[in-house]
Amino acid sequence: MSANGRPETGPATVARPRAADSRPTGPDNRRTSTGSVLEVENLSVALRTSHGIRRAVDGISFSIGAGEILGIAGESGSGKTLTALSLLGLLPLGARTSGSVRFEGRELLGLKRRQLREVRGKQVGLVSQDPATSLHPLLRIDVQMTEHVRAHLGFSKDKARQRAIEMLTAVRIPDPETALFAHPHQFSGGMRQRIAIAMALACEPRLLIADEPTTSLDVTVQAGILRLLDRLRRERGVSVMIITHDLGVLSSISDRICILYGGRVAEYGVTPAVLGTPRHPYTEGLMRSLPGASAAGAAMVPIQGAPPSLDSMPGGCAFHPRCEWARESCRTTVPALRSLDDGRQLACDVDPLPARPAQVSPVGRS
Amino acid sequence: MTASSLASSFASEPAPSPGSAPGGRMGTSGPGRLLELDDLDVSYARRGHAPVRAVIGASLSVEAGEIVGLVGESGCGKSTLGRAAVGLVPPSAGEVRYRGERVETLGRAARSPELRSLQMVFQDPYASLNPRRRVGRQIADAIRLGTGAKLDDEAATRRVAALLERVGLSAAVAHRFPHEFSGGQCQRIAIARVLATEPSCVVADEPISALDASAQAQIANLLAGIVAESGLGMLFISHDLSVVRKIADRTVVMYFGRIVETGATEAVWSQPAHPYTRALIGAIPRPGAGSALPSELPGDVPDPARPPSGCRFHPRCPEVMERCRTEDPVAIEVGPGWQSVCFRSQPGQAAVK
Repeated sequence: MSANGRPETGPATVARPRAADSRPTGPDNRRTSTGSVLEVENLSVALRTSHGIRRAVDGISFSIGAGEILGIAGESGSGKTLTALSLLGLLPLGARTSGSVRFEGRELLGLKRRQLREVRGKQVGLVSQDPATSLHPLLRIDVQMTEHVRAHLGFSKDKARQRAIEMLTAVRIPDPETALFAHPHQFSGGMRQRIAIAMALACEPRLLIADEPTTSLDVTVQAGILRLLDRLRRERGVSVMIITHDLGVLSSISDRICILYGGRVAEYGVTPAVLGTPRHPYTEGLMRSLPGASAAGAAMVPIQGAPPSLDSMPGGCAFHPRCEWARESCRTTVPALRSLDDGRQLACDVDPLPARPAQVSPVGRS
Repeated sequence: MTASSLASSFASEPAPSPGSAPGGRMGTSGPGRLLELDDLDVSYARRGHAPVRAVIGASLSVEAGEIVGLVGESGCGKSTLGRAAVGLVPPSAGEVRYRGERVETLGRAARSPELRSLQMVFQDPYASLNPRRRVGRQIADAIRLGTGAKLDDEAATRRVAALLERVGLSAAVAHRFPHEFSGGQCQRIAIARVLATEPSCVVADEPISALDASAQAQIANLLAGIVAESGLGMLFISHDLSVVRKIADRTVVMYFGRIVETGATEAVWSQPAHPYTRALIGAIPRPGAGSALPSELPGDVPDPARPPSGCRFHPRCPEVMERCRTEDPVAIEVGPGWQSVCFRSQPGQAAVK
């Protein structure tokens, strides 16, 4: 499927054009080439489980440029949330990290708590999936929205309040002056998430980490939040790292996308290229399993099996038990992440993927 | 194949006469329908306040071999409607009929055997399965309670094995506990338990919303396959329109307690008649569509305690007219078996296009 193809004709039904000679063009290229706000290199996170120490994140590298939106995609257990938390030093006790996380040139891993506090909330904002966890139920919005502004930026009470009103206006909360005096339960889920985003933005961070910011919301509300994030990066130059399993969300908003599976990068590159002509069997399977991908009347084509858990991580390529093109070597060797001609990175040795027959076979009785 | 190949089962029904149905009611009652909701109202009483009307005048029907998709935003009353349909919450007006018999609200007394083939699949399988009972035992319980069959242990084991295999699991997992399974596998077990009762009609309330991306397509296919194979009727409640489009024969759209549009899925999807349906469809992010951002529907679902006057959608409607603020629209027959509750809808407009 071409990058601007219609969603109804999925990648499964169309001959797969190779993007080998087409370099990414447009603003994405400009954004990614210079001035990374965040550079993550070879990040690993090890967790202690009942079965011993397990690597939940295994050597992940990516970067985010100024004003860029990077999508991190993966299912449960892919390590996407742990990656986000490790950037902010919010990992559970006993977790060990290695590698490098540089934010505007400054190494974040190994910072002391006091030093981290200057970064967290001030330069890097976090929006979590559930606004109920980021908003205190008993405190009024004004208290929650001014506390960190005063602490981080040394604003006076009045100035902090002005900033809060400004932010609530930016996220389009009607009547922000009144909203400041309300409690979180007085707002709907979508408004609460917008307030959580306003809170995360109040110190004007350079980077916003949004972990499943729209997963619990309705599509109509989700559309509003996505438009808001897009506006923020255009008007304020905020970089956004958005974590979700919803490829529809990522195709509409992200410049580049990083697909994680089993704690490793499966495919990483410019969004229209990666989702338009997936080169990793997992990416291809995800795109094929979307309801719009298969022909009307035909069953959806899910990826068989379930994502692995930490305690049952397969050897070799983590995806091989679910991969229809797995070879003998996939069972034993972890495929190396290599760069392709179009700038994307790919961790799969089955390349190019065998072409699909034009007609989708009636799979589905899983 | 999916249940959409069974679409002919409702296409052949006599088309009601075009024009407006009285009192805003949608759908008509008649024989041969499995599950019928007739002008159903559900209200929640609140101390010191007027009751909140969660469902207002909802009429719909589910026939054998058909999947009816019920979509809407959270808080629109779709789950309340689903729970009322199986008798988990009492209606405040109107009634629910299953095979022509009134569905009594579940109380302390055992449910009558005739109603036991009306079953429900819940959103969270970890909550609907008993965490301390082996999954095989739970399924065997459902066989005995649901069908009244007196099975010895060996026969029960055989039947449980067959059910587990039907939902795509190995028969060997019967001795395990729910926590040993992933969310998708647990939902399969919950579905096996429902199938154990040999149901004729199943209400599935967001059965795939809590699952991983790849499990969602698997479970949706499984449900569609079961309907196509066994010919049961299903009310599939979901906020995910793209899945409903894929598996439902008919789609019912709900907004703020009211059914606003109902019709054949492909028709509703390709030329939605109600402005709210159009907004819902426009808000879905399209994978692979490049940089196009989904369209926003401004505003939030209003406070149920203070519903707007006139059409309940008018404060958010991009096509609002003066009349919408004061008058309540009634259902307009925009095509055969296709209704829209909107002043802008014209009788038979779909046929003209």
